[in-house]
Amino acid sequence: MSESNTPLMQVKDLRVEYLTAGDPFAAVRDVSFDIHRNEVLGLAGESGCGKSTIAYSLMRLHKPPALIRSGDIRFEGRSVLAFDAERLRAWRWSEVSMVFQSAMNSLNPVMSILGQFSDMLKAHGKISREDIITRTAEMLKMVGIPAERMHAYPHQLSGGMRQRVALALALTLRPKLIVMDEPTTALDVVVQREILQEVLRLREELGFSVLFITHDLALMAQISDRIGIMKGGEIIEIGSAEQIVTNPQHEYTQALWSAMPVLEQVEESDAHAG
Amino acid sequence: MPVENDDLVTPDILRLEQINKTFHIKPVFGPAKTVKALRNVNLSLRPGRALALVGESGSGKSTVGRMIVQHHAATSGRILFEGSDIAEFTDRASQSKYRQAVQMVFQDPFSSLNPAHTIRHHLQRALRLHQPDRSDEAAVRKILDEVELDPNTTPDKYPHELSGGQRQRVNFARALAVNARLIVADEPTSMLDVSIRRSVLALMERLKTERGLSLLYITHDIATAEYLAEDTAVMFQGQVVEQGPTRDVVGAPKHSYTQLLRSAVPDPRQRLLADDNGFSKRAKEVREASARLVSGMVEQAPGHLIAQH
Repeated sequence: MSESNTPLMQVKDLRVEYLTAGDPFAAVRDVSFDIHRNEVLGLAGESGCGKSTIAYSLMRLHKPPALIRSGDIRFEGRSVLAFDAERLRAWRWSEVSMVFQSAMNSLNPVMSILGQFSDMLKAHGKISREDIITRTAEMLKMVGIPAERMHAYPHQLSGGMRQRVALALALTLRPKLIVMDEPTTALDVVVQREILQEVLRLREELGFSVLFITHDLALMAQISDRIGIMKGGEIIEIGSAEQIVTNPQHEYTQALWSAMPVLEQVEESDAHAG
Repeated sequence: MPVENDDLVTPDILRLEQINKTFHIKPVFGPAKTVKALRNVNLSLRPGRALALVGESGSGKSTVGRMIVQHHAATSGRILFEGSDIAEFTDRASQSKYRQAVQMVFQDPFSSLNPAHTIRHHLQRALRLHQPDRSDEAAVRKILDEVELDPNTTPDKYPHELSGGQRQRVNFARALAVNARLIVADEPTSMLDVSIRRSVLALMERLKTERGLSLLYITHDIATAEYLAEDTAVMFQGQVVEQGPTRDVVGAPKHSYTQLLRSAVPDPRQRLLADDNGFSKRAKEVREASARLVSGMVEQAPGHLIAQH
């Protein structure tokens, strides 16, 4: 990957606090990191470490009592925190989109899949009904769902298919960055693998960066180029996926690895099989 | 760690024979339909051992667990507990005895405890019902100590003051309080953080080896099965497709679905690339082939059964 130009997104000294009755609680403490073009950056950590708060803050989707206290978020050099409401609305989804935690439940249950695409496309420009249908069919086909399923409602699709729809929705406007917050946690391993392969294939085809958030380190190591490990609102270690796997520096990273039954058992059984 | 000790003389604590379960669903909208949740399921669990029941969501593994604790009755087939059919436990005394012996731990530690009562209440209630002679404070402390919770501070706490992992420990403590001999644990770790998942597995392992508890461990995570269970059964679409010693089933799977499941477990040393090497195509073929009715089981090695479709 060429490092010729500036990072796609630069986060500098970001501090997000939750207002409480007492002192404000800092969920994200002066965190800095870059997301490069075409890169999958993973953020791992236990629940409550602030990783989801970062995901929401990047798109300024955080809601009170959360507030960005200080720091800077730059997207292609532009300061996201300085965007006015109109600019922000246009920027979201067309340049940065998101696949939410339990994306399967992020679809509107009383709207057909076509309706959800139509809503999103209309919000970002004038578009005719025929074009909406063509576009929806094309996007569904891209994620491996037959185009005629566009008239289905979310409950008529399996969990894996709903996840694919959420992914298709996030990709439609060809964003440069997709934030994925625990995108496959509710799925079984086979479906999880299928969807992640799809993400990687589409990345090669379309070119986009991914901020991938999960607590499953093994999974993260499989698809990320770089990994940041979070604890208590801070990134305590960030490095290439290979370094985090083979040579973790921070003792917390080492503790996270040793706490995972998955890893050790896989290694053992490989030994059995061999 | 699982110990291999093939003592075939020990009778099974639990046996499922040719279990079928059909649900009739009548939705508010749309036509009624029937779902065959289980098709000819045969399983057995020996005392003091753990059997892992592995499968994707919708494979019928939780239905098996719920039938064992009598939440559902079988459409056909029978469930034997220590040799007697559980459908015949109709009088109060035998019902109560069975419920004491078999306890369930649920997936969601956040909704399975009463938020309005202290931990002491949860445990004392169980003790009073099933062991009236030892329902005192000392017994509560002893049980908490056994599940590695602080016996001094925990009794006065309410569920919301505990973390998910601690609450799951309380659920195991509750099962211990009634002197259960078989615990059906339905995805007990899947809602916990990875970093505490292992400690709850270690607790289950310890209860099994120290107290001689039998465990039916229901999970979608084939990797944790190997950590805990001597035997593993893999289910797909209501049928058991492979079963036997975990070492064989997880270590060297023979059925194509188990192999698929095994290969999809995230391995940090294996990078995923844009080219999936035919994974999706294979997954689709295997699912279609595995959904077909099982015509019989072939014994590959002693106790290692593979379904033929």
